[in-house]
Amino acid sequence: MTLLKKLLLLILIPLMAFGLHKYYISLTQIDYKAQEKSLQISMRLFTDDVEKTLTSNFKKDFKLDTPDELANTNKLLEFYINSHFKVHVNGKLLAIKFLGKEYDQDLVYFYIEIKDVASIKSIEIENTILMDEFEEQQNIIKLNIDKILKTMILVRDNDKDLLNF
Amino acid sequence: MKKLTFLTMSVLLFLTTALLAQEQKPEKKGHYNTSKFRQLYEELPTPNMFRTASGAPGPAYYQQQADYKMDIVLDDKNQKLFGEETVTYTNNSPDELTYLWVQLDQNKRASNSKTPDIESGNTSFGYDAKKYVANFMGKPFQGGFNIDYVKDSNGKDLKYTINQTMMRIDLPLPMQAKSTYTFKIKWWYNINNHVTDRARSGYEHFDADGNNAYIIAQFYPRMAVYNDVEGWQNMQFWGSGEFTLEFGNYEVNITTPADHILEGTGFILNQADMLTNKQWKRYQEALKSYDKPVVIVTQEEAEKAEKGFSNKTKTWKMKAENVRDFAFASSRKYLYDAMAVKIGNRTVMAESLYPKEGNPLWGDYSTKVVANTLETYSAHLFDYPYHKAISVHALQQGMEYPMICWNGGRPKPDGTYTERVKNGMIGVITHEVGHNWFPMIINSDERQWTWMDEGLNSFTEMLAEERFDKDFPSRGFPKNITAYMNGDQSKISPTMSNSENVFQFGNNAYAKPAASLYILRELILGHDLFDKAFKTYAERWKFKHPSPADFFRTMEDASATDLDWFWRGWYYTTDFNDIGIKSVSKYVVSTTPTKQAKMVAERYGLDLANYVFLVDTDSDEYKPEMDKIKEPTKDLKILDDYLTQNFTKEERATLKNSKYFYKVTFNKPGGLVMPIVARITYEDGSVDDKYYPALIWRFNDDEVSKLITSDKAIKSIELDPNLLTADVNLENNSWPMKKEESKFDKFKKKVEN
Repeated sequence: MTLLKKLLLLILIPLMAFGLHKYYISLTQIDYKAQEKSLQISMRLFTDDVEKTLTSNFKKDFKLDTPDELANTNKLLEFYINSHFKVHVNGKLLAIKFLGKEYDQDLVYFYIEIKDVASIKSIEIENTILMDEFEEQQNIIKLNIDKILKTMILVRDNDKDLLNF
Repeated sequence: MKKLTFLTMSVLLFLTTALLAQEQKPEKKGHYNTSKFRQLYEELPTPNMFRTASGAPGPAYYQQQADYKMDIVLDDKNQKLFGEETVTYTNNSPDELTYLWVQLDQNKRASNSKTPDIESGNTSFGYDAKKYVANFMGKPFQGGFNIDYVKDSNGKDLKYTINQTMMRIDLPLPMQAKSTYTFKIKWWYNINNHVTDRARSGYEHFDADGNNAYIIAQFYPRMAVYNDVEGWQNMQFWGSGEFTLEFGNYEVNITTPADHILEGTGFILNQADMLTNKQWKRYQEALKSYDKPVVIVTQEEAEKAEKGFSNKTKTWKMKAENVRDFAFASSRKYLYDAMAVKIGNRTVMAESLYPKEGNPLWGDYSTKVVANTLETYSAHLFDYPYHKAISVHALQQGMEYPMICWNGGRPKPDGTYTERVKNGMIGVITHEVGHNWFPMIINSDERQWTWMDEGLNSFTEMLAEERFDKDFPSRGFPKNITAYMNGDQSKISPTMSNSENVFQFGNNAYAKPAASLYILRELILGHDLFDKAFKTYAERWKFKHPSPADFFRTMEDASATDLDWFWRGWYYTTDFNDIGIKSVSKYVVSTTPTKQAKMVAERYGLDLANYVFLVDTDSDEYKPEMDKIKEPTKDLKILDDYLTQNFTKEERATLKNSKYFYKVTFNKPGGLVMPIVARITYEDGSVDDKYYPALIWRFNDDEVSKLITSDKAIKSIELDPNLLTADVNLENNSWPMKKEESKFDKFKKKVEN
């Protein structure tokens, strides 16, 4: 069903940067798959914002989404994500696995998985991605855990949030 | 004693009431009208002589006028701006005014500004040396207005009080209705770097050649709006809620270094003297060039200018009539091109001003995008009334003023650019030029309602982008706001919320209202009714101050469509749309009476021999042999007999042959009431689109059923096939149900392979 496919592609487009002021926003969808004991994370960001942030951090021209994209982009990206995106479940910091990224128009999607999550009594998300570069960066986290839907809006001054179940 | 008696009586009375209450049955409780289709009488203000119930300005409608004469000096060496202004204020209101409020927007950047106090701060994961010094060792920027004096027209000092970004001038004598008052303000301020400051105006510094490009706005003390809706609109400028301004006439002399190129709001009266002879000749050519832009100040000329720094000055004489604001851009780095656009029977100039860093992108696209925007908006709203529209290139910008706007979208230093930089630039220019209509001319209160200009403009922007490139990746489509609308309710505000206090500003005030208007046009009113109503709103409120009610009322007034349910749902609540197919039951025609039929027959003494019955194939009354009746009108004698007796053969052939009967039950997990759009695909591949208006939900907000009959069997049903309703959940939109793996699963599979 191509319509659904299309929607899934577009569902995460954030509608910001509409002229006037550019809005510095990312949207992260976190779904808990109890059967697979897995937290499935897709993170949607503006490619331009990611490029600028990576350039500031690593002093390299990444040329994202071009045939000349820097060869070790994913490695550096993984390093960056690891130091800016932290997930605690039941009080314990969990290892995250960066599966890769995908471009869609002016957006880039990061896919991240956390395995061996047997149950969730509490979850704390810290997401400072892009906040080091953009003061106004807002990272919106949408969680779908055991059919409970929650949203966190993280900004510099409030860059983590905890949910108890 | 008396007191005691009263107390005793009160206690007794209370006891009696309590006893009585106990005896009463709880089901006697009534309720107010909670229908989602009730009128908006409680939300909308009562119509009056200023604003009518039809949504038009009333017979007593008034607005104030503020005329400005200013002498401005731009000090490029020290990045300072100096001004002396004479304001003539006309009180057209029926009210006496004892003081005037003047907006000092620059004070948001003053070292004692309170804006940072309501913002937040935190540590970063790391700092390079430059960032460390900037963050922890820099002095605060000394911004904000320095007011030298405020005097009356006779040069006498006036008493004034500054409260952050607002200045109250106390009048020696109250200002009577229909009178004018003239006063003078002398001021200066340090111009901020808008790139590092993320500001709407300021300068961008170019390290390579040492020059600045100035985009100057909110640069002079401006009259606050006084009207019948807010009184004085003197809510502070915190940063999000933009500007609310009166119309007026401007005479502005701007002194810049002699090697600068300047553009701004209004006519440049001495433009011939400001340009070289060659450039002036090229400008004359541009006035007649309707197919492509003419470069007036070339890259070669700009590159030559940016190598020098003139210590001489020149003064640009500007004049603008009936504008709500004034802004200008000035630099020795600017290239300048222009082309003529026919709007009605007038010629309007589409122009661009950009440093060489914008090329080749800017030379190729900017002015053409301006022209496209002027044409599309003029067709949908009203003819662009001013003589020019300028797009100025400034890094990371997107900001609008009358006739002039700043736009981002810069190629890499080698001149290459990606498709997303190009589309971003086309989008932002269309949007900002479009702001000439909303709010520069249809002058809504931005300080109060961001959606009234941003939402309406984002919607019209989509129409212009589609005209420029039919596959343009516009953002305001209904499908793009579903992720926002089904988010956590504690992080969403209704669109009818003040500009300063909304969660997710972009979604709240840009995308959602834009998508809602798209839905209104495509799905609810249709193009003809919508376009006429939208145009009526624009015509009624051009060069005036509309309020939300004026918009809502006009859209209904011009279309004969009650939209109160729509405004309530989309603008006053955070409800989202989710309509699903709950069940589809197939029925067969039978002569065997159902249990229900028997009950009815017994009660009313009917003879069931004359009836046929529809039997639900999922019920226990269904028997497989009922399927034998393939053609009810032939196979069932009572139908065949009736048809034979009452219709000729020819007539019978024209009748609809209903053989398949389905009851489709739609449920509505979402809070919004919306039309049901169902695409029915039959087994022979033919398609039938059904549209049930939103009113179908008026008696039941949870579920409704429809009986669908046909001569063909239904293969599948799909709700909202064109994604026009912003339905947040598509999983319940199909019958039979379809499952699709998630984007995450798909990507993971791809990686694992």
